[in-house]
Amino acid sequence: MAGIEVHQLRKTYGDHEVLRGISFSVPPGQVCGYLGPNGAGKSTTIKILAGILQPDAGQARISGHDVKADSLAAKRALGYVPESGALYGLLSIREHLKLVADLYELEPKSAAQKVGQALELFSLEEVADQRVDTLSKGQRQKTAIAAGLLHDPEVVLFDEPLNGLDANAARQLKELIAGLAERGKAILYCSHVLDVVERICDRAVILAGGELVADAPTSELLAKAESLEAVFQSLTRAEDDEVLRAAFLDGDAP
Amino acid sequence: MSEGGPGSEAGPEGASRWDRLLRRLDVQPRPYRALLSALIQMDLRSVHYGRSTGVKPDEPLPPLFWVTGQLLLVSFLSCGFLFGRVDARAFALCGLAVAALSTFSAIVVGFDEVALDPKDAPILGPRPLTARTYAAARITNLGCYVALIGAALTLCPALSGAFLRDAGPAWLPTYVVASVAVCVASAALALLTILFFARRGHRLSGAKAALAWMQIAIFLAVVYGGQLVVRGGKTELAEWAASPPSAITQTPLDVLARAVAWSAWQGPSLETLGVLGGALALALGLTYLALLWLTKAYAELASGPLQRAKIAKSPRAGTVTGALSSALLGRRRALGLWWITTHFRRDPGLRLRTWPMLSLAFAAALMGVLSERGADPFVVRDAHSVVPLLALGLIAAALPQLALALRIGEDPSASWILRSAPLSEPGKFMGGVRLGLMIWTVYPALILIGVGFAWSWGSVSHALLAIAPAWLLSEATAQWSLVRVLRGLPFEIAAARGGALQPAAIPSALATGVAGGVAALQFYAAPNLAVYGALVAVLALGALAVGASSAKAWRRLLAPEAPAAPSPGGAA
Repeated sequence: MAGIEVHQLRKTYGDHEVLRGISFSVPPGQVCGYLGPNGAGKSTTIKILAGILQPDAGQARISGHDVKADSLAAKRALGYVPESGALYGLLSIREHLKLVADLYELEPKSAAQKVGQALELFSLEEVADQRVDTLSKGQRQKTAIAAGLLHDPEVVLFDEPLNGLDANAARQLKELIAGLAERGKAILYCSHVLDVVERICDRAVILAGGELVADAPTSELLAKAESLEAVFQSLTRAEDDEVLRAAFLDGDAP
Repeated sequence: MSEGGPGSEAGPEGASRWDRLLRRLDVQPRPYRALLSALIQMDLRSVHYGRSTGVKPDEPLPPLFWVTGQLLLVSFLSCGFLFGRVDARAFALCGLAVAALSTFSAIVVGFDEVALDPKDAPILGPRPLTARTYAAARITNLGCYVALIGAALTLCPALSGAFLRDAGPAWLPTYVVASVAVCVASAALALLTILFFARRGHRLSGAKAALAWMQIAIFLAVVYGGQLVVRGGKTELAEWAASPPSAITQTPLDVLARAVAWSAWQGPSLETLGVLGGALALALGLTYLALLWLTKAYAELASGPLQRAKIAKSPRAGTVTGALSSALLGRRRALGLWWITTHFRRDPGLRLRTWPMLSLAFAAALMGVLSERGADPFVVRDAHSVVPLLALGLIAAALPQLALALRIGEDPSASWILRSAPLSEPGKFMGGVRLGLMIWTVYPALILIGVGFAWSWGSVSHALLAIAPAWLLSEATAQWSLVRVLRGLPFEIAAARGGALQPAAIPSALATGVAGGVAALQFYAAPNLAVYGALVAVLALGALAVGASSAKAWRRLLAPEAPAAPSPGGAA
């Protein structure tokens, strides 16, 4: 099986173990939701898969290529859309996409075509020659998405991709994700927006405290509770949430 | 980051010679060119759109202009000073030494942006870009920067040296070659030194600070040596230059300077060509070594653990010192004080931008004490007692530059937090900021220099008397500088390549002039304590007046809609 394979992944920062030997896989053609409360280790997992961080132990593979031992091949097969839309603010959208095309060594003619298509798809033609740091949050996010998909990767990591997108763009992205899965891409979708995850993901993996607490098809999880949010809360919520919330709102000591 | 390279892959047929060379070096040709092009474009834009050190978009001259202008000025002044006073070898030596020190310090101060930017990791990390390719692009980009500052440092000595009595037409090409070698080697050495100390990249800030202080120490030593020479007059300077101490003649710079001077006088010989060729080869060798180490450092950006910053406990309300500062200063001032002192405590870049500005004052004080020109002005009534007063005045003169340094921050986008806050009395908040700046820069300088003078003069009371006007002048200059130079909230501009002092140039000149005038008044008033007391009183009133007007100015700058709050004393 290709796609994404994670086996006994561990990562520690100082004396804090963020990932405690997690294992899961995402086959081609599947959209897998990757969920967890803040600080659970989701971003760390994504960064390891994207090659930005190295794991302390365990293995991670992208399309059969080990992210550590065969990192170049893994990165060529991977498309990554970061949460913060990490982009070079001083470059224009067009220049940024051209840089990405060159970094992936895409054939120049087809790269130019892809850039044009991406600008059209995400309605960025009018601002294509503006500097990224002058764009709105949504436009930056669209640029990051375009940059992540330009080279037609086999595996795509999305980290909160809907951040800043208007309703039309969000709908478009959801349809795009479905189209990518239909074309055999393996997609890991990391998000806190659980109703979107419910609708577009075939499977959900839930992380809490660095460990997997759930890994099942979304239909199976929904059969156990009224919504994915309810499942999520039952697996990850702190016990005294309501008390703390009341205290905060009413200005009382908890 | 990716370590595998394209070296073992066969390049495409018809690949150019340059591409084949790059592949031999394990550099991916097309990604290298693309990244280099992007880096150069970003450098140029950060100049033209004012996203750089302290320069706002409406200021007409870009900061890279000021960086090269400053270096050109340093080079011009040193050439002007030495021309006709020393022989060709000493002239070349000084020129090359200035080039080496200036290039070294430029790399040290701008290292993160210039060669290894941690912000690249999330953008380039997921891309199939080898660490070697990244390092090669960054070093080439650095080479453009080094070329610019090298040109600024080479122009004056290369042109003027050809007219030295003991030089000839061969001076120009041989000096240029030597200067290129020195600048490239200095840049490579700076990179290697920082990487050696930094090891895993997350200690860069500490390494930078250590090297910056080393630079200051070298500067102090050079100033001390220079004044010894200058005091001896023109003849002694020429004699010293003709027979420098062995500590200098054994340095590579002097070997190179001798080769340049000899070539200029006698024409190039095999030996001198060998020396120049060797220097170039050494420079290229150091650059290649820097490439290897930078490759490793970039690769280790991914494997280095995220450091949980050791959060220094900052006193605030709820702790004894926090409550005390709120009670003594008022809540807004205490907030401003806490905010700025927290930045000083946690941001090594801020300390690096501010503390070295006081080096001139320390240099003057040390020079005075060590060269027997640091006498007690209340006892000795001749030129031997002027330097201490001047040294104290130079502390105040540094304040416009200190204010400029506060413009830059690590998170300029976070400035919205203060901008959107209802700061109805911004003068009080900025008063706290000013106090924090003084606590972290000026007060320690005054205390250290004062202790030095007290020890040297054997009189604490005289040292305190000497410090008092300097302290009052510093208070007034700080108030004025923050309004005139900072002109807004601190940390609102992102740091970028190159250090420019342009927005503080005129205020610095004014502050230096005033400081010099006050030092002169101190000197003449010293014999009469009543007159001296009157001078101190005038300075105190002046500081209060500046404080009152700066409170109004802050209201105008930061809260123009807010009604003026009643202000009994008017002091910020």
